[in-house]
Amino acid sequence: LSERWIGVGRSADPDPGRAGSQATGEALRGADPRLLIIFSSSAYDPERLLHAVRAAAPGVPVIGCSTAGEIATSGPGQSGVVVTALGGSGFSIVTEVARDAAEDLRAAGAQAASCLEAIEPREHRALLLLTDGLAGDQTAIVRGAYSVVGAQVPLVGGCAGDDLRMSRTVQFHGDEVLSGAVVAAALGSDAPLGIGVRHGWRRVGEPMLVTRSAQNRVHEIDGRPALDVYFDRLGAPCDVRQQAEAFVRFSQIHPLGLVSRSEEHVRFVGDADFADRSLGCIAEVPQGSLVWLMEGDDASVLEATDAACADALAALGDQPPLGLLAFDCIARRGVLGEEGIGLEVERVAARGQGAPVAGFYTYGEIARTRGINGFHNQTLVVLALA
Amino acid sequence: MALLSENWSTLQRAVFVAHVSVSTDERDTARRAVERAADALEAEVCALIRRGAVVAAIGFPANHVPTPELVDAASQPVGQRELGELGEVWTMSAALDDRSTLLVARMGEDGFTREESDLLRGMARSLELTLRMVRTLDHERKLRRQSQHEIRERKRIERELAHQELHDSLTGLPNRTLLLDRTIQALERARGTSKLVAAMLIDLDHFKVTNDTLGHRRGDELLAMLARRLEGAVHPGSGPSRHTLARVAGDEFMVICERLSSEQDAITVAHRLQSALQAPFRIGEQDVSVAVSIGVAVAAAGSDDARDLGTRAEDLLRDADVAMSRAKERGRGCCEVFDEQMRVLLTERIQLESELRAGLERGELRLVYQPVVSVLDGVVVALEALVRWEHPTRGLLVPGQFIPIAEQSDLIVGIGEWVIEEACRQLSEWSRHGHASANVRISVNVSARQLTFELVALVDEALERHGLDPGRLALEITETLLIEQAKSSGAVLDSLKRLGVGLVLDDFGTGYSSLSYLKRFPIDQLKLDRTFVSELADDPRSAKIVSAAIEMARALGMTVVAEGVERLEQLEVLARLRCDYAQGFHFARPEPADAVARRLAPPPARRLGRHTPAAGAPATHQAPMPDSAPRDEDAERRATIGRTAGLLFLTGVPLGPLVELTVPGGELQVGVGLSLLGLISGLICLRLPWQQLSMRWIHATALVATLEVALAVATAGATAAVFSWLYVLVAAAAAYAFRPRRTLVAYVLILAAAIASPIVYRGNAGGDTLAGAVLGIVVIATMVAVVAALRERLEIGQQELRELASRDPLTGVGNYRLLHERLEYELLRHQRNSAKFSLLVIDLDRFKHVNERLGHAAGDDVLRRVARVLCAAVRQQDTVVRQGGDEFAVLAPETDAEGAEHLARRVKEQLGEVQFGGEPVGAAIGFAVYPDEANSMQLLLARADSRLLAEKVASREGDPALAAYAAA
Repeated sequence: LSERWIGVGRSADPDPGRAGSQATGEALRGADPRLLIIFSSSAYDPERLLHAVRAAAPGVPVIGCSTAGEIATSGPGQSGVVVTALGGSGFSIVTEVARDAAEDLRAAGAQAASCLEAIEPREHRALLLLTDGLAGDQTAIVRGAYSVVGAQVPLVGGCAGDDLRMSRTVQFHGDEVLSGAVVAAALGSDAPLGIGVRHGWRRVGEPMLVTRSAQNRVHEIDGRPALDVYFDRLGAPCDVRQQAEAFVRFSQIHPLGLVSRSEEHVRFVGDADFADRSLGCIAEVPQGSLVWLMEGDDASVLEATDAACADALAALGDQPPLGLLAFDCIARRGVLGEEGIGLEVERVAARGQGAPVAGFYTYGEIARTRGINGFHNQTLVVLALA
Repeated sequence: MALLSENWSTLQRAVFVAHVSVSTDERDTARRAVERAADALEAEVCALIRRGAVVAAIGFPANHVPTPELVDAASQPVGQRELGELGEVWTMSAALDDRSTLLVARMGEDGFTREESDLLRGMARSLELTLRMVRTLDHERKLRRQSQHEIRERKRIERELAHQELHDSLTGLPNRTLLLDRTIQALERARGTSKLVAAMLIDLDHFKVTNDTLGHRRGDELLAMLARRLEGAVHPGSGPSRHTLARVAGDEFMVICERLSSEQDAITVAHRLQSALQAPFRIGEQDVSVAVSIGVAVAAAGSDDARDLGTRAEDLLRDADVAMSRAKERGRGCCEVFDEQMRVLLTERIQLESELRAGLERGELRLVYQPVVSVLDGVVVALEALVRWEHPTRGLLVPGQFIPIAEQSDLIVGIGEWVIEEACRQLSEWSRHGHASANVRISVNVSARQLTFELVALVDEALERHGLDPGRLALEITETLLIEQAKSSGAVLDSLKRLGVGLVLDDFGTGYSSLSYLKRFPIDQLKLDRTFVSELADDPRSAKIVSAAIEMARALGMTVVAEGVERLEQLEVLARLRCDYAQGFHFARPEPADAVARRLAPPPARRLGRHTPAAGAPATHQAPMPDSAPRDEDAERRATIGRTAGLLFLTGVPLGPLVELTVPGGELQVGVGLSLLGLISGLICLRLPWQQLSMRWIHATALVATLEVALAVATAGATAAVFSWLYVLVAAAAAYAFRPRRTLVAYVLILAAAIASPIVYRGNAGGDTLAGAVLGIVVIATMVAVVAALRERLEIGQQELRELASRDPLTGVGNYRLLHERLEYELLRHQRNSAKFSLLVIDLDRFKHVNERLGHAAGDDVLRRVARVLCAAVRQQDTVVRQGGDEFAVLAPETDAEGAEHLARRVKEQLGEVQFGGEPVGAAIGFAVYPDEANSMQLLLARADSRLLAEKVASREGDPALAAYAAA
């Protein structure tokens, strides 16, 4: 009755034109394509890449972003492009973009989310969001989207990356290559959509109180400079205490855990200010919050992968998945290593029972399924489409 | 989790407070609160509800908030229910205060715990406090904004008031105050530079007329439009202008021009202003044209003037004003630049004004009178009183030399009052002395400033005080004045008319003649301006205008006087055009009161000879016909009534007793009837002004009454005769007691006698002798009174004749006849007491020159002044005479050669002070002493003359004619 198909194509061709054409061609495995999603390495010339994708599938709506590594059924990769195609009459899709999000993050989220109102009514809906992870407090973007979408529809997606250069990410929307934007696709489907969210981090030691903070900058913990508390509690080696690069490598596997009623929200510590001894997190850490230092290992992270996939697939009920989209934190890649991430993708693909897998390594993950908070760090978010 | 739950609620509440208290806006606070509460409680929905409305909510798409369900849910502390599209949810609510509730709803399996409920209550409480604080702050902010708004508003009003204080509300232009300030600034800026600052005063010509015609609203509109045009002309470019335009009075604008290089620049601007106003203004449906007079004053460049800037600015503005007045004097639509000469004139004017003020108090003003003559028969019908100022040093000044100055101050009011008072006093004096001049009307000129209701009171009082008939006084009002003050003056003129005084429109034809004005005001006479008359004989168009004016005046029931008639030809044309009256040098110059009185008096010789006035004497400027004074129809009518009544009186009064006497048996009724007719006629005569009853009626009546008595004596026998003589004696005594001048008494007595006569005769015939006798006495007394009155008139006449015969009419000193009289008298005295006396003859040096150069009027003036100086220089017993021309003589009794020389020196000294045209009027004096140097009158005169001639020759050597004459 309801025709739906999902195809994923990938290419590692260094030429963006050829890579775009090849990946798109591979992804278009059925008739009536309704959406193309591009996850591409930031090494490509985004204009030429997009041009090739558009040329391969004229008139099909496109969203996408640059990454810190791509995921496809065949495994993780870098410097390539993965194109996902959704097609068939069982899907209805409308896209939207909010430019210059940094000017008003909340409003940008709200604007991008406004496409949800435009799709024809389907039983199952979700809003897919791809944001510029470097544009500012991502919590605000998610809040803005939530204020428009409401509790009934889940939010899912991730923040674009630039292969850890932390300078500029791009977003694709239709014929446009943007930066600092929020792109969204409202998905309507006749079949269920399942979302799984897991991080696999454990609390270390006693909880601490954030005694002074402003938005995503933590100045003091337990009345002491935040950076000193962080180093002391974790017994950080010398180079971490002095070099920014070493610090980022260290902090990737030592996030903060923000306590809520039933779970911890993990906050990736992105930078340290060695002068004023403060910590910079990727999202808001409210003053007065209780936080833990967190740690993880291969086992716990992979456990989380399994759990996330299981949660997503469970939401589909008895329907088999047509495809899986994975938004995996770049920090998890740091924990697992190149070998580990290969294993992780294998596990996801295995869970998918042959359904194609696509995704990317992100600078932040979006999944709101309950409560009002939908922004996560160092987490794996899996969207399963039946 | 155990550790966590102990602190969790407290920590969350702290985070909540920190989160919501960031904002200062109530709405934003509410939004942050619902987000934070939902976040803390891991709820999908949170809403703040107040009074049944959702203030803030999260968890629903925009425009899909299920308000009623939320409000309903908020009424329960906890519950499980369907909520919009979310399906079944857990709900929990906590009240902030009695109106607001914080509601949360959670999807899924887990309901709310007790701890979470406490947390919500705690958050609700915190929110309430925060909101209250925010509201307070908000309120304070509003108050602050409001007070700031009020402060701004007050400042705006202050600015506006300040603006209004310095600007004209009609045109929005700066007013005089601001202009002065700007002028000071301009002068300050110009200091030390070579640039000039100019002030221009722009005055609309005849704006008052325009305003009256258009109405004030339209007038204002015109001013506003005019202001815009001037502005355009003053600031021709779009850039900032160096000039300031201001409205300084009703129809006066002023421009201050800066950074001018020359006076010519200022004139250029003035011309630009004038040409900007050339095109007519569209006011309503009308096109209105205006012209302006401009006065320009330029402040000296970079002047190191010691005066402070304020004074200089004021002087500059005043100079422009002076120049503007000058421009107006030159004619409308002119532009005049101020120069030093004007300043001098101004100073002189100020000086003259203060002298005039003092002069008015010291009584230096005089009235002279110019006759107005009937064109038809040359009879003088009226006198125009003209004011002269006998200035102590400048000589006799005519109105043109001081009235304009007086008009610029309140002096004109004082002068006007004096003129009316003096004219009335003069009339009354003439009246008392029975002068013929008392019978003509005197008109006085009224200035603009006088034309108020105070004038009505003033005239009324003056007339009353001097017991004058209002018809004897007329007021002359210029046409321009009448039009300019049309609204206010109408009522005043009406009041004056009701008072009975005549109203004369002066200078007719010089202003904007408008028939509607003529019709509206109670004018009874027009005075045609001299400009028409001067061209009358030569220019046919002038004749046409005059003719039209006469026709129009006649149609409006007015009479016409032509002013400035100087030639016979003009008079002839006027007669042809049937002009009523004329005035001018052709008839007479303005003369002092005594001179004009003599002119009007009937020739005494003829009066003496015949005892009757000169009947029908049309000789041009003589002959007051007592009953010919008023020219209007009313007067004509009254004169006719007077004559008729007089005739009836004349016939009725004596006819009664005659009938009684001559008809045997006596028809008493007929006699008494006729007498009564006479009596009534007499009463009618009494209602008329005395002057209209000619003396001839009195004389005739007296004659008839005398005949009657004679007849009575002849017919009634001895008894009656005795009584009659007795009457004569008693009546003579009674008449003596009366002042014979009181002609009223004479009339009453004549009437009474006339009535008494028949009764006397009846009494003699056998009736009441006593009553007859008493009444007879009255009859006789009457006759005596009449005779006494006549005698006194005769005496006055003789005295006047003597005066006239021995006086020089021009200077008022004696004439050659008086000199001869006095000489004879002194000769007689010498025979008795051998007293020496001297004769001085005086000849003015340059009189002929003055007379020719400055005209006869000036010459006459010099002669009068010389006469005054001579009178002042000589002693009381000396006699000053004018022998003729410019020759004067002084007869000094009891004076020898030394005394005469002394006197001659003094006279010469004093004459040196009489100046004309800036030079002293010199004189040559010759004298002779009797009997030392001459033993006869002829010799005395000849001796004095030869001395005079010798002195003249000495002083003017080289004059061959004079030398030859002296030698001869």
